[in-house]
Amino acid sequence: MDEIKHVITGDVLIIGSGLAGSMAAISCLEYGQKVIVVNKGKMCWSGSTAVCGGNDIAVCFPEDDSALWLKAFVESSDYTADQNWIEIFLKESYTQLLKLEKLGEKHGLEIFPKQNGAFWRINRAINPFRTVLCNLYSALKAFSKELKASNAVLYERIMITKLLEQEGKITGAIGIHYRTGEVYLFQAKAVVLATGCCTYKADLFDVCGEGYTMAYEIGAKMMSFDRGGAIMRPKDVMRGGLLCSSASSSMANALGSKLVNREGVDIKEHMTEEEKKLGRMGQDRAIQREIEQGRGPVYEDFINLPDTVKTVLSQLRCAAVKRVQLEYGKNPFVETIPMEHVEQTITPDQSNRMGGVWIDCTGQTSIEGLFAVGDASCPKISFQHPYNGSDLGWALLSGGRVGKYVAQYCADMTMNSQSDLNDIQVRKEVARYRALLEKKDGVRPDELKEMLIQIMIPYDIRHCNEKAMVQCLDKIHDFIQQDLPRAKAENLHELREALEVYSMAHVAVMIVSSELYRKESRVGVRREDYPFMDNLHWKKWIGFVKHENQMCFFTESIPENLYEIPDEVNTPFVTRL
Amino acid sequence: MSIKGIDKTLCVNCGQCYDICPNDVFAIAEGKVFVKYPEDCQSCALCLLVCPKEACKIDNMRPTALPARGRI
Ligand SMILES: Cc1cc2nc3c(=O)[nH]c(=O)nc-3n(C[C@H](O)[C@H](O)[C@H](O)COP(=O)(O)OP(=O)(O)OC[C@H]3O[C@@H](n4cnc5c(N)ncnc54)[C@H](O)[C@@H]3O)c2cc1C
Ligand code: SF4
Ligand code: SF4
Repeated sequence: MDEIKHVITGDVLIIGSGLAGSMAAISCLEYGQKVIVVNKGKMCWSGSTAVCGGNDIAVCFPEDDSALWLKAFVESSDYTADQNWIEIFLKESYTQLLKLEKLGEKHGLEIFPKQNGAFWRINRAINPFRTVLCNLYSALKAFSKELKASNAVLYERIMITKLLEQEGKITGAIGIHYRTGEVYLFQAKAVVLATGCCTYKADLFDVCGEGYTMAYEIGAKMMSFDRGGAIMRPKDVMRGGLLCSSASSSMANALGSKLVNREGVDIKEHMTEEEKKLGRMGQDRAIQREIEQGRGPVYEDFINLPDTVKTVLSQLRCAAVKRVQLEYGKNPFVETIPMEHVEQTITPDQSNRMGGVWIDCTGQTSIEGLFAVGDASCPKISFQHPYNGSDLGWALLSGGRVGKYVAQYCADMTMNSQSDLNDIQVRKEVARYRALLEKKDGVRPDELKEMLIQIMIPYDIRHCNEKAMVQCLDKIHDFIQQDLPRAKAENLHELREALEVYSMAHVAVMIVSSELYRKESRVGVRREDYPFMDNLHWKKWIGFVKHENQMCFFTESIPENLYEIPDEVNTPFVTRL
Repeated sequence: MSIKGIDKTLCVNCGQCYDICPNDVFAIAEGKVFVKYPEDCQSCALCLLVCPKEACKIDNMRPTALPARGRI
């Protein structure tokens, strides 16, 4: 491995090219910046956006009732949404949608499917508002075409592992090409972190919290990791079928698809009102009951949908449709396919909106010149349930508007030339890669990932009390001190994984310590020992920052400029997973 | 794991699956594309989407996570 083969310089370095990073790159280009984009996977085709494929996005249309959106954001986030950002969402989200729509048109791609000539909006069962259907595969194709045709410099298959900072200002980043082993040094006036979230779950392996770990390590303020979001996937779930995801099946439900039992009866008819409000947990419970009472299997029924709906679903879920067709040799829009029972162990499901790097209303973090967008930033307008359009809406909004502020920042800055300090940081990082590759006896990263997940399994919604959390945290610390140093990488693929598991372990600490700090139940985290919401004492965001190698926690009051949060204690808490 | 392999009777070794896979599941040796790290497949079906020959074999289930995944 060479020390450094490539030194690349630009105004702004964008790390990650999912929805947020791609929007950020395009918006920085609009403002005349010299843009570098680096992505761990293929340019524009990795991360949550590529997996989530086609779904629906939260956007406030001009004809919408703003008060309804405001109420929905504030209440569905258990009051934790940032009201300043909600105001920005109300004013600007539609502009970003139009920008994306135009980009699609430019490249001959329909990003937003139409119904009777208008944007196709749906009402999901758990949402009080209407989201808009979006074909993210088309969006990613359009981003890729646009970026390739622009003067942005693009690098794929490079994993950034360290941010460079000097005197509180960002100066660049270091990464490794995990197919060639070459080391890259990027130097820029500004950096936009668009690295997505950190997932421990089975359907998304490539976003592992590096953005969080790297930002924390250079002293950035971190926020809201106490919202575990959908902490645990229910144990017995019915998965498979066409859409293969609760988000997309709830989207399909909104479009009229049904889950039917063996007798062809819509299982909703047997669901209690409480189950209907509980989203996927309620649905899973109902499916389970159908089977136990001899009315299984349960089918996803797409065959009775109008042709226009079948067409839009087959476009939005094109990858899943192709998979089903090849697997079963059946067209799911012609024949029903039974959902199969997946007996899975409970798995931590902490992806999406778990917290992130603190940002102000321009997207800038507490480190000068470091911006964060999408899942990498702390959730400003997210609901309790992660998959109802607000996260995609956030990626679109936060990425799409950041260019202006990056350009303003860069205009006042001169480029730092590579300093001795940066040189030391680079050498240290290269030594870190080398040590992992050269280690003879040790543990492979896959095994380490499994060990970490095993530690987190017992700590779930049902056992969420101080004792269980402290035990879990102790075990994660032991893992970091005793097991992680034993990591070895037999090749570059394993080097990538070893660097990933390092982040996952550190993000696990961020999550569990933040949740432990909050002494009440809120945003997806039900505490057995504090079962109620307590607005009197905990109307606060929880954040932390690295100080003398320690995580120092702080709280910030949640602004109430638009919507007054009731000062009440013992508010009943409902988990909407 | 959910990638079952490549049907070599159909595959033309165009490398598109290798090019798109977010998790680097495929590798190329002597011009031939093969599945090298099946345990890292997240079942996203992006390889199916780009494969011109429908040669990637993936089962319909999402990976069942633990303990089926991984080497322990
Ligand atoms: C299965 C699933 C279903 C979902 N359904 C919905 C839904 O219905 N509605 C909704 O609103 N949201 C949904 N979400 C969430 C939504 O997809 C995300 O919030 C959104 O896509 C985030 O976009 P992003 O650009 O911030 O991050 P991502 O799309 O995750 O992009 C991050 C990018 O950064 C790259 N990267 C990561 N680390 C590095 C590194 N170290 N160096 C270089 N590059 C790096 C990754 O490869 C990736 O390309 C879903 C998510 C999943 C996983
Ligand atoms: S995309 Fe299909 S045809 Fe091309 S190498 Fe992969 S499996 Fe073979
Ligand atoms: S399904 Fe996705 S993760 Fe699995 S091999 Fe194909 S592209 Fe890679």
